[in-house]
Amino acid sequence: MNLDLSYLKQLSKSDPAWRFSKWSSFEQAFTQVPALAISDKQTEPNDFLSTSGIAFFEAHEDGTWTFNHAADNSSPAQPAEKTKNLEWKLESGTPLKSLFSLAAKGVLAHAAEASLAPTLSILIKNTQAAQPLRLGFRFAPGNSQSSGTKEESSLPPAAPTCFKIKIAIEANTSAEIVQEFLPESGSLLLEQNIALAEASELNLYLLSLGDSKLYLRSNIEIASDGKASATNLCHSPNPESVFHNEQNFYLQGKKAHAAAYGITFCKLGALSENYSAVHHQVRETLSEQLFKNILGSDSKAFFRGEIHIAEGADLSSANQLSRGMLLSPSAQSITEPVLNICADEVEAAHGSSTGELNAEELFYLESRGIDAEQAKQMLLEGFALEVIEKIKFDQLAHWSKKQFVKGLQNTEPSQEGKK
Amino acid sequence: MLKIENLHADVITDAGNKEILKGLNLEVKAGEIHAIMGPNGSGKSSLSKVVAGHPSYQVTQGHLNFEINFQMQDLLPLSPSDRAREGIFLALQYPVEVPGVSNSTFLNTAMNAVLKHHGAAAMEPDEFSNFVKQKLPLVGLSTDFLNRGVNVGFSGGEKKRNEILQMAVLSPRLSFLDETDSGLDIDSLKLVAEGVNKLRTKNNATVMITHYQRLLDFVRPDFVHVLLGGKIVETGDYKLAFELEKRGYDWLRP
Repeated sequence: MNLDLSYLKQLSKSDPAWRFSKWSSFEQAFTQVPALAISDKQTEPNDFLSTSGIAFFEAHEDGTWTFNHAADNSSPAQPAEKTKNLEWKLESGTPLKSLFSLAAKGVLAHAAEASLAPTLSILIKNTQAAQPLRLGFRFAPGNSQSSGTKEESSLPPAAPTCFKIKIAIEANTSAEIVQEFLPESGSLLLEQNIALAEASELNLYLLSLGDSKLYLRSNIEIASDGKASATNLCHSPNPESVFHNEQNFYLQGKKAHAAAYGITFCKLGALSENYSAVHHQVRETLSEQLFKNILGSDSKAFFRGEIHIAEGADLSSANQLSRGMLLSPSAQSITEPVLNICADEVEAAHGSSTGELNAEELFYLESRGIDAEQAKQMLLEGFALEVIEKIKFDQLAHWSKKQFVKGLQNTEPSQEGKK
Repeated sequence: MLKIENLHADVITDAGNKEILKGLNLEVKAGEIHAIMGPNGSGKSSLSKVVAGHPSYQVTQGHLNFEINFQMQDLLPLSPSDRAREGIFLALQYPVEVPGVSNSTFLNTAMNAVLKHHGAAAMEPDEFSNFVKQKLPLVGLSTDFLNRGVNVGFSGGEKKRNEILQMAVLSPRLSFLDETDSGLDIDSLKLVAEGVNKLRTKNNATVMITHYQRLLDFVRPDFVHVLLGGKIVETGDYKLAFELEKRGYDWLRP
């Protein structure tokens, strides 16, 4: 497969000196544990990711891996050659053009060199299609222990699954990418670099619904008239859950547009961290950030929202809003807005609020016959909906309303004897 | 239908409790329309919230009884939602905005809660949608109000009309309208008043809390009460409203 990776060459300009403590362990893990440990557990596809073709990664002991896919479920997967890094080109007209799921399975690969860290490179070129090209990734965080085919693994017991992805989207192409992290225990480190060429569009969705430890970092570069959105839906149910999500948007051409949305629901000591940074590097660029957290007992959410408007990036506009809802006195919400504005003629706004369920709203619903529990549920759903409504991928939006929003219930184990 | 005897109630604030109702008596029978007038701070809104079970109020003394299944029963142990299901409705002076919850979902959920309580089958969204659309002309709201967040972005008049729409949908037996007329232009006032008149039956009752006799021009009350210092100090027919308009409240102060 020949792949034009010229866009990818422009990637990774971001500052390697990470300011965040979590990140250092992430980066370290990439260099010291260049292994792919992917669970072989098969799960039912969700209805929004119903598969017309399914593809598998398989990692091998020598640090190489293979990628197999079938154009549809009826034909058998074609065996592929072993490779270190996989390059993959998608065009309208290829058999995998519409909606498919990429499932990963395999055994633990242990390699000594960082260069063997697996990278998947994808070029998306879809100029003729009226519909955006839709890609689904499904990650099984897995665990080096649970994959268990190697008894004498040289890796530390809780070695995380590591993964790198590079995606280039050609000019005038639109794509929707769903990345789902399966709800199993284990750790996953994912770094992805995404480049959008002129007038291309990407809607990226990250779904995490389980007790995994996820360390995600996405760098998204957007050329002029390009438009990228990243929406995170995260439901962290227990103290083992960690959702660490970093997103860096680089607006590099006029009228480039970045949107970062997130809704996180943490329960029972779960931890969620969202670092969202938008870099307005040239004039007339636009960004919006909307993050919401719903926090149950002992859970903690951290949001750092950065807006950087470079010198000369005049007539840019940036909006940032974060809201936290505390369901328990022991929940914590920490917000750090950072606005670094080096141009004069710009519009930059940020807002932040944290509170409990509004007592007057609750009473209003109750005074119409809706019992207290249901009224709370409705208010929680309403709180989340503002983010869910940003989802443009209709099946996913439908699924989110049915599954994610309904999953907000039973937030607290018991009511604290309130009269 | 409603019998309030020697009712004392405190409002609970961060600064401590403060007595607002100080021995209030009121009886409302089925088919009647009552108006409660009085100066600011006399306890009018508090009375309606105490009846609806607002958590910021605490009854310290007296009785609050409501007819349930043909028997007078103590309302105090009932939660706000239980009171609503038994047929008590409060149109708020300042209707609350509930972002993210659509008006139709809100109304449908409330309706089904009431239906379920009375052992009736719940209404499916389609069925409910047809039902509620029939009620819209009563208050002059268009169907797109159903799809918007509850009261979000509604004008003052639209919020008040939305309260009457809820009243029309839920068919309560006893409605408290807390200054539903305030902030309304004359057209909205007429719509609201017509709504109240049309919803009137011999089995339900309405208590209107108002500052102005203006509303009473459109909805003729059977009784007018003056609430002053946490008590009803004067009761009369609708002519009392005219007298209050002329003379104010000072002549009623002890």
